[in-house]
Amino acid sequence: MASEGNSSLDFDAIVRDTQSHIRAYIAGMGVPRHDVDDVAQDVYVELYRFLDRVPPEVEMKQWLKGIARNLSLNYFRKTSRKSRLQREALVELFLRAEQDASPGFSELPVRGALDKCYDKLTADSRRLLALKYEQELSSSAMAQRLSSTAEAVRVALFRIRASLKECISRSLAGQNPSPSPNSGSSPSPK
Amino acid sequence: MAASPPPSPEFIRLRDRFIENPSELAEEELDLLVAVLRDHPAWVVELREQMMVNDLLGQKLAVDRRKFLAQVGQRVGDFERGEEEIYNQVADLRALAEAELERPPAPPKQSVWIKAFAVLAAVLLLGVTFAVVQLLPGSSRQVAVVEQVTGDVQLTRDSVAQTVARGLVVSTGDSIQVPAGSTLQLKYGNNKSRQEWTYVNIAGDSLITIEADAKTQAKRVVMQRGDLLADVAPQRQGAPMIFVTPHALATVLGTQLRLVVAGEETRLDVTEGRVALTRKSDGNSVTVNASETGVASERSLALKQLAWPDERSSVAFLFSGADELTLVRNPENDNFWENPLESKHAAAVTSNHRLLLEGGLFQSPEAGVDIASILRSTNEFTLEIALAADLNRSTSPAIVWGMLEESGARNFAIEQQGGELQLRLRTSEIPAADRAISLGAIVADQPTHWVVTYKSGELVWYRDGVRVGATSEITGDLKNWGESALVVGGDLTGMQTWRGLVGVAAIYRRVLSDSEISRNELAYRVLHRSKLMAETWDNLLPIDENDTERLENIPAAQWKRSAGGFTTRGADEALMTLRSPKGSAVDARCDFTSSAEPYEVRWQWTLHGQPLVVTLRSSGEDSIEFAGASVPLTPVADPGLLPVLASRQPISLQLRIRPEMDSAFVEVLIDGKSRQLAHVQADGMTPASELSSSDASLQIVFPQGQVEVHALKLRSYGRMLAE
Repeated sequence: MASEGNSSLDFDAIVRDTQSHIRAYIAGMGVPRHDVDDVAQDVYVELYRFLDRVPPEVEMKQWLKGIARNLSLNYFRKTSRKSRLQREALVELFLRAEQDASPGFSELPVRGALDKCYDKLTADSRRLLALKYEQELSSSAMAQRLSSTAEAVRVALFRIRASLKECISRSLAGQNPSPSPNSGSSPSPK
Repeated sequence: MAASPPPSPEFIRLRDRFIENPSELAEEELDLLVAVLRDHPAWVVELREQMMVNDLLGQKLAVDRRKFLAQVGQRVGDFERGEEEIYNQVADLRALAEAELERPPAPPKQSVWIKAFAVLAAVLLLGVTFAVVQLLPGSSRQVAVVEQVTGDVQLTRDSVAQTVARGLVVSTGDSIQVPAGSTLQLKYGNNKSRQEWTYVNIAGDSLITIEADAKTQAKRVVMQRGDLLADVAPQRQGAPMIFVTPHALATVLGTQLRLVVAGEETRLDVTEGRVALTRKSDGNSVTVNASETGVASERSLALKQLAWPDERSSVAFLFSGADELTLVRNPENDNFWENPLESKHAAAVTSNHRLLLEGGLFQSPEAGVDIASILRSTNEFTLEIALAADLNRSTSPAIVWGMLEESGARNFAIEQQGGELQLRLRTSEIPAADRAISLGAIVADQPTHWVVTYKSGELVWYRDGVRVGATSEITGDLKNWGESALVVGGDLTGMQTWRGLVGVAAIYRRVLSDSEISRNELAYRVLHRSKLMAETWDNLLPIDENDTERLENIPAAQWKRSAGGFTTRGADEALMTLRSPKGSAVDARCDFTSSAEPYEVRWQWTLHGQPLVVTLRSSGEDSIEFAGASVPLTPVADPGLLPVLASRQPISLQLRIRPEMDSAFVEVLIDGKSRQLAHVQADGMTPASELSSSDASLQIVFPQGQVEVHALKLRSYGRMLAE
């Protein structure tokens, strides 16, 4: 599926190289996880349509982020009739926060870094993540299985993600990636 | 950036809920979140990065998110097709307009005004025609094909009714009536090039109409009444499949769901993914996630967790896994009481809380008394059981489940006879319960869900939620049911034992409807089936002559197919192979009968690069050699109590190897009981180095012939770890 619009740009390669980061970027604006991929697909269809209009001096990642920002705002306009103002305020805060993001966290090979950091997690942490992301259980359902509370599960997940984020940032900044030692904490029983 | 104070517990709760699902927060909660975040920029950074990592983990681990590149390809393809279609439509209309402009061939001289008018008219014609094409409801369009049909299903098209047969193409506007006892499966071509299909299974007593969205052509199924189960492949962006009922709309992009319209409400069970359920009366919506049920009626819209069984008011006995209470209803006060099943001999509870029958049984005399008392008063019942048999065939009737008296008399018994599951039932008309009713074929190591319902003159049975048989020949009430014990896996004397696993079991004091059974099967499948699957063995004997993969496990020159499995009669050594188990753990089994006297059996494998040979002899002088050296055997019982290898008797021989930090335990079991245990250690095994196996197959060797092998099995690593 290569575009004929601009022979100097390889659409397939752009999608392959940027998709993971752009999807995470969209999620970072508060788009719910189950809709992130839909918005991201729209981003790439837009790119495909107007590939020949990408200015040569603009970095592709920045161009895609611009489309992603606009489409995410559109998404909130369409889906959040009641809380549109709050959603837009949040997007504004998140966009401002982009400038203060952890060093290296906005780099493209973020997914590869995550894979490496994930492998270094404890078995307990990986089990918890499998319940959450593989089986897509809610925190309440996980809590039932683990004899814990939904709140404790959310806190445990937050800690694991925080350790992964640190590890990714270090990895992308060229340091030794290794999640912090407390990342294996499981939710405590009720 | 200045250091930020620690967030309050209220904010943490709000923040974590937002990360889990940003759309779930109410307006006022969002207000609070925005207000707090405005004052703490560092927390915004943290929250944003949490959401990004959250999404990256989803990309990595969630199965439905791994096809992103393909989905982009599909979207771009859709875009290109859409462009092409519009171009083609416009081209047709342009040609039409041009043809109008070109006629008549030799027009008389016209004024400039007339020519201008003609051009304007042509342009208007082009525009109006295009608009009409876009806005008018589409004409009938072929959308699906009948994949399976049972019973007399009728389709009405343009007021003409026709009987539905397999292969019939279904179009928009078609109305389909599925009478009670019939079923229909429709297959939608979602993306033919990618072999992605959407299946809609419609149960009996349902009435549906096939539609498509006029603008997007998205699939729509309107269900006036009934019950359907849908497995929906990912749909095009902006064109979700919609199920419409009198009370609600279920909007789905790609998932598995069940929809029931009964009386005043619509119920939606979601097994995978998520579906938006919108109440028609006010447009309110809830998102129904996997393992949840949404209920919509004129007055309410509610969510609850999927449960097996769906309702307990008619339950007389319930076993839903040994981690839950085994419940029996007290006929005197109608309350449940807890009644753990008592195990006898080789019967145990597995790590996944299922019942494992290896020659023993579970029983409860007290439960049997109470259940019999309840059913004597209702004279009807439903039996529900999920099981996985250990053997394809049983030489004598083996009792899977039943209510039996000390004398051996049965109130009911579900039995495995040969490769068939059967029911025996005592009624006032059949006091001896001597008639065996075949429920269907049973295949070893495949979990199946069975339901039997009975009231006089109406015995019906279901396999995996689908009605597979019925008879009106069994009549009578249940007043003659005696004081019996509830048993699983054999009779009260320990005979007629059945080998296999039981996942769940329930007895109800009334006949459940088709819809209730289908619903229970779905809930069982979502909540319990994987646990049963995790416990089952992988059978490595060939199923038939075409089973080329498994045929490789048995050298054809040595083994011949027999009634009981595979037989060898040569004087030379004969072997069977099991593929190399994953990792360094082994749980392998061979069931055989040897006629040699005396005889020996060998397991051979390569562990950590060194040969491991376990030799068992009917004389009892077993040996284990590792890396060419003899390994001391640890006694597991007095020699007189050890299970023996006896000639001409069926033996179940099991080898377990469990890795430790720097060594491994090797255990051999005969008929489920430990016979030998050894601790092996090789050069280079250390806590830091993972114990490794080779790709070499595991072999079982019979040095002498005259052996019949009934089963050759491997089991997954997970179960052993959990034990």
